[in-house]
Order: sequence, then structure tokens, then C-alpha cells
Amino acid sequence: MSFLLKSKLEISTSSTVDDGSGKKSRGTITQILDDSDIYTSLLSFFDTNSTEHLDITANSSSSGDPKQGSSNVQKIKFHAKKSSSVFLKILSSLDVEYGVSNEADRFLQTIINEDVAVAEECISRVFVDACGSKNYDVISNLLTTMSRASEFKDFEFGYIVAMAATTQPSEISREAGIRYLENAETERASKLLVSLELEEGWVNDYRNAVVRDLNLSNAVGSKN
Amino acid sequence: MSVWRVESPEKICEAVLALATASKVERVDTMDVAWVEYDDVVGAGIESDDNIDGDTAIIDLKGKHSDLIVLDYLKLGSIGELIASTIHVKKWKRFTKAEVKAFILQALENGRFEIDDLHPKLAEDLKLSL
Repeated sequence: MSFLLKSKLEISTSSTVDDGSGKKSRGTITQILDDSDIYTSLLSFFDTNSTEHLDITANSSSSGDPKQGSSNVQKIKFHAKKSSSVFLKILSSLDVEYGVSNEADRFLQTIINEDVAVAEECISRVFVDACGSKNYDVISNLLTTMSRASEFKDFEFGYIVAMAATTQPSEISREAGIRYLENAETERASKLLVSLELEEGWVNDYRNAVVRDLNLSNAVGSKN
Repeated sequence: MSVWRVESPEKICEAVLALATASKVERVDTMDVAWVEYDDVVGAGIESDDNIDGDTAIIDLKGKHSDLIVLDYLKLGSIGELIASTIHVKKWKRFTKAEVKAFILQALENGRFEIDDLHPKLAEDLKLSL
């Protein structure tokens, strides 16, 4: 008889967070973290710091007023900078349980609901920070969280982050990128997986298994 | 600490099925499992309570659950060492999302549970695959 231990990933990492916005905004972020309902706090944070929803289309060349476009980009960066500090802290100490939503899922969803452009900028900041500090657990948690958000399913931005993760010098990061593409469950994800150049080993085996699964799934899908 | 008992490593998919159909599970995902020999657990002085039903929708698997009990820091350390050594000798396996989903759908087809016994989000997701 054998015992099977239920696997539970417990991550305990620390990461230096530089929100780069001065003492006042650090205080605001601390206040958010101290609240028991962090998501409600984030929403009120947006409400009290923004008088209008962001219009990312205003940044396009056809939008007319270039000052308006520049202003919107600044607002996106401002909100993303705030939220990325909080998001990074959540991802750094995340307790991931199989198939169960966690506070990172809820936090990202809150930002997405507010503005997808802010969510993208926030994710970019967290990813770059984690790569710079070689915090691969954060990259893994970030991609897991992204893969659970339906808004990022079959979304170019998600593919870009996932592919970037597969280029990192860490199996944890490469595995996370592959897992993201596995969860996308698309033909495009399958093609991207095939294009990866990986060394022999368990990550490569995992990639091959996912490609097999996705090709089977897409073949069944096209028959139906 | 919650664990599932299986007769042999070949039956590990039964434990995967039990874990993937727990009441809290909202989605199918890739799963890594490691297995430890029962004798090694007993040999490390770890006690188990085999009379607590497991949290799973699969009725015939509920009784295959055990809790490792009376765990102090020393015993938690022993469990950590057991898991580390089991991974070192490759007594672990990764099941892809598609494989886990296939186990669940097969069990559903075999009438081992009702789809509404699952978390509503997971049930909804699986209904799309039927």
C-alpha cells in the first residue's frame, strides 16, 4: 500500500518593492494591504484617485488631441504603478492550492474589471521586476494567475508574457510559461509551444505532453 | 495533513481523481503528485487516522482518505524528508490538464458521481466538454 501526499505549493519569498512614487503613495498602499478586504479597498482606491475611466483609445494617433492621449497613458501608468506594488506583495507570499481561487486571482480580476490596460501595465511591471530580481516563484504565480483570468485567454498580451517566461534561466519560469499556454487551449498556443527550443528534461517532456493534448483537442474540435 | 491511499503506483490516477473533484476545486489544472510508501510513513513514527472521509465527489474514494495526525515540528520535518526523497527517486508524476479532465469525464461516464456534486464552476466547465 502506498500513501499519496496531496501536493500543496507553499511559497515563502521576499521581494523588494519599489513603487517609485514617494512616501505619500507608499502610505496609501500600506493602508490597502492592512485592510481585511483588500479588493474593496482597491476599488475605493481607484474611485478616490480617479475621476474618470481610462480611455486607452485616446492615445491613438486618430484620437485627435495628443495631450489627452498623453494624459491617459500617464493615468494608466500611475494606477499600474500603485497596483503592481500590491500585486507583487500578494504574489510573493501566495499559498497556491490546486483548483481553488486565491487572493491573487481576485486582485487581478478587480484590476481587469477596472481597466484591462492598467492590468496589462501592472502585469508588465511585476514581470520585469521579478525577472530583474530573479524571483521565479513570482513569475510562476503571476502566470498561473493570468491563466485563470478568462480575459487573458487567447489574448496576445498573455502569449507575449508566457513566451518571455520561457526564455528565463529557470525551469520554474519556463514551466509556468508552458502551463499558461496549456491553459489557453488554442491552436496558437500549440504552435508557440512547438516553436520553443528546450533542453532535454522534465520541462521538455511536459511541453511535448501539452502539445500532444492540444493537438488532440484541436483535432476533435475541428471534426465537431 | 490530508493524504489519499492507493494500492499501488499504477493506481495513482484514482488519487488524482479524488483530489480533482474536491468540493473546493473550481477548475481543472495540471497536477503534480508524489507518493510515499506506507511503511516509510509508519517507520517515521507518523500516526494516521483512516476513519475520516475525504473531500471528494467520488463516493467510492471517500474511504481512501487518511489524515496524518499528531504532527509536531519533528514529524513535519520527517514528512518533508520523505517527500524530498520520493521526488529524488522519481516517485512523482505530472498529470496534464487534459489527462485530469479525462479522468473526471471517465468517472462521470461510469456513474461514479453526479456532475452537480462538483463545485458549480467546475461543473459548468465540464458540461462544455460533454
